Amino acid sequence: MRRACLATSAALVVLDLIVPHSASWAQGVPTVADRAPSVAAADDGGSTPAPAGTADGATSSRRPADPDSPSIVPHSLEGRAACITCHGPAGRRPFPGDHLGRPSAACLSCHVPSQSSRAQVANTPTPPRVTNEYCLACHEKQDLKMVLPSGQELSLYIDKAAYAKSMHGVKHMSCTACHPDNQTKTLEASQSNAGKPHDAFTGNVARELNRGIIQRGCAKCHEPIFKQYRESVHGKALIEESNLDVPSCTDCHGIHNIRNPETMLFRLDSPDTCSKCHGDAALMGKYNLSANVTKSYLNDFHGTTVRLGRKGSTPEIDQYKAVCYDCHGIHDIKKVKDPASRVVRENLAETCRRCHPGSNANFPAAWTSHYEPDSKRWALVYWVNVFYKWAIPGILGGFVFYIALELIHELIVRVKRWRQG
Amino acid sequence: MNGHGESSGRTFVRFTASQRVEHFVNIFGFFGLCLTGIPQRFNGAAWADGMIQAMGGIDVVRGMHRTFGALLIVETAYHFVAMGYVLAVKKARWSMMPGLQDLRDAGQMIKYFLFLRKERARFDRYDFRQKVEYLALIWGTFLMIATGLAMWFPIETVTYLPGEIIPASKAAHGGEGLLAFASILLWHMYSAHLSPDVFPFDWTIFNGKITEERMHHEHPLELERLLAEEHTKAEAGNPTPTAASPKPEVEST
Repeated sequence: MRRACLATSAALVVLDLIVPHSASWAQGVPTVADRAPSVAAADDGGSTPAPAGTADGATSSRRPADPDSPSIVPHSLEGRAACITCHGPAGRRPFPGDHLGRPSAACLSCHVPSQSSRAQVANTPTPPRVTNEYCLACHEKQDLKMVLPSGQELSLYIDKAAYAKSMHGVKHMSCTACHPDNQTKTLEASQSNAGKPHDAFTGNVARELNRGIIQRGCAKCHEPIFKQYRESVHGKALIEESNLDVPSCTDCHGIHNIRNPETMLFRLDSPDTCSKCHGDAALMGKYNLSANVTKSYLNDFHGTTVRLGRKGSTPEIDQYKAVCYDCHGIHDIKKVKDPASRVVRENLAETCRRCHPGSNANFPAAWTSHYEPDSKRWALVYWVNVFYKWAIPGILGGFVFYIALELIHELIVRVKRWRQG
Repeated sequence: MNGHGESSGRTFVRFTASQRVEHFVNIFGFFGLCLTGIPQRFNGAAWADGMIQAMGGIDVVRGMHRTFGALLIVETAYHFVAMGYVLAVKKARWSMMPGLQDLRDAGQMIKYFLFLRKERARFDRYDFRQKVEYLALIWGTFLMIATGLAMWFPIETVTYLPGEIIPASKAAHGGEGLLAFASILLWHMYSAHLSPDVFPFDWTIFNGKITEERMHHEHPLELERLLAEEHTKAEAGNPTPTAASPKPEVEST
C-alpha cells in the first residue's frame, strides 16, 4: 500500500530524474526543480498565450529573488545544430557545471525557447502555455502508463473528477504548481530519452523522490506545517536520517485526491491512515513498536465510537471522539517517551483535559494506553475478565445441569405412566 | 394434570398489583437494555453493527441504553422503598431470604430427580430456584447500575476512585450483562415457561393468581400456613373467612 503510494508520488517527479540525485535536496541547495515555479507562475498569468519573452518578464517580476530560473532560450532554434554545440563545456556559452551529465535531449524540458522557434524544433505542436487541460488531455486516459526498466508498470492516469474535488482542485490550482513545467515531460519526450532517466526509478529512489518533492513541492506553500513536520518523529527520521519507512505528506494526505482534513470524514478515516503503517507488524517490529495499537484503540470507547460513527449515514453528527492524532499530535507528533510528547505520562492528564475538562490526574488511567490488560498492567480489568470467563459458563452450566435433571426425570416418569396405560 | 392435590377451583392472590407492575417495568427495561446493550458489547461483529445502525447509530443506541438504565434505576429504588415498607411497617415475613433450608431443598430435589427420593422438597412461598433468580437480579442490578454510572460519569467517578475503575467497569458491565441475559434466557424461561409445573406459561406474575393445586404442588408449606391462619381466624369468630386474602410478603419482581 505504502509502496504504491510512494511509487505514485514518484511519478509526479518523473523528470526530476534528469537531475543527478544528491544530498542537495535535503540540504536545500537549489536545483532545477527549485527554480521550476517560474514557469508555473507564467502559467498563472493572462488567459491569452503569452510569448515566451513576456512570460519571462512576468516571471522575473514575480520572483525577483530567484536568479537561477532556467533561462529562456533567447534565439530561434531554426537551422541550429544540437544545443551542446554552443552550450557544451567547450562551447561559446557553456552551461553551468552542475548541468554536466544531463542528456542533451532534455534541455528543452527546462529551457523554453522563444515562441517562434519552438514549433520548429519539435514536430508535435506545442501549446503556448501549459494548462491543466493540456496535461489531462493525455493523463485522463485510464490506460496511460509506462513500463519501468524494473518491469513495473507505472500508471500515469490522473482521475480528473477526483482532482477537481480535491483540496487543490477546488482552488483551481494548475498541475504546474506542483509539477513545474521543467519537471514534467510528455511521454514522447521520456521515450526520446531512451528510458534513461527511468533507469533510476527503483524502490529507494522512488522514496528519495518522495522526500524531495515534499520539501520542494508541498513546503513551498505549506511552510509552517513543513517546519512542524521537520521536527516530528516522522519528519526527523525522513530528513535527518534518510529513513524511508516514515510517512511524508502524501502518505497521509494523498496526492491528486487530497481531502479537506477539517471534515468529519477525514477525522473518522484517520485511524485507517495511521494503521497503514502502525498495523504492519513487520514494519513496526523493526522499531520495537506494537502493531496492535489500532486494535486496542478500536476496542476502547473512542475507537468504538469513531468506527461506528463512520458507518452511520450521517457521520457529521457529534462524533468529535478522539482519533490517533488528537492525543499524539499531527504534524508535530513525537515519540511516546519524548518529554515533549503529548502522551508521555507527565503530559497525559493535560492532553485528556483538552477534551475532558475537569478531569484529574486519575483520569488517564481510565484508558489502558494501548496495553492489553494483564496481571501487572490494569490488573483489575484483567481479573474481572478472568472472573466472567469462568463465571458465565460455570453458572450457566449449573442451570443446564439442574434443568436437564428435571426434564429427564419428567420424561422417565411420563414414559413409565404411558407404559402402564 | 400432575396428580397432586385435589381440584378445589380455589385461587390465591400471590402478587399484588404493585408487584405485577414492577415485573412489567422490569421486562420492558431489561429487554430494552439487552437490545441496546448486547450489540454494543459485541460491536465489530456484522450483526451487532447492523443492529446499531438499524436503531439509528451508536449515539442513539447509547442514549436509549441510558434511558432504559435510568428507568430500571427508578424501578429498583421503588422496589426497595416498597419492600422496606412491607417489611418494616406491615411486618411481613422475610420470605425471600435464603437459608440453609434452601441448600437442603436443592439437594432433595436433585435426589428426587435421580429417583433416590419419593417426594419433592416441600417449598415455602419462594423455592430456592426463585431465590437464586431474585438474588442474582438484585446483585446484577446493583453491579450494572454502579458500573454503568461509572462509564456514564467517568470524570466524576475518578474524582474519588482510581482511573482503572472505568475500564474495569466496562469489563464487568459487559460480563455481568451477558450473564444476566443468558441466565434470564435459560433459567427464567425455564422456571416460568418450560418447567413441567407451569408449561407453557405461568400467568401468575401477570394476573397475580395461583390455583390451590399449584400451591399444594409448588408451595405446600405456604399453603399449610395460609390454611392454618384461616382456621385460627374462623375459630376466633370470623363467620366468613375470605378465601383470597393476599398476605403481604417480600416479593421478587
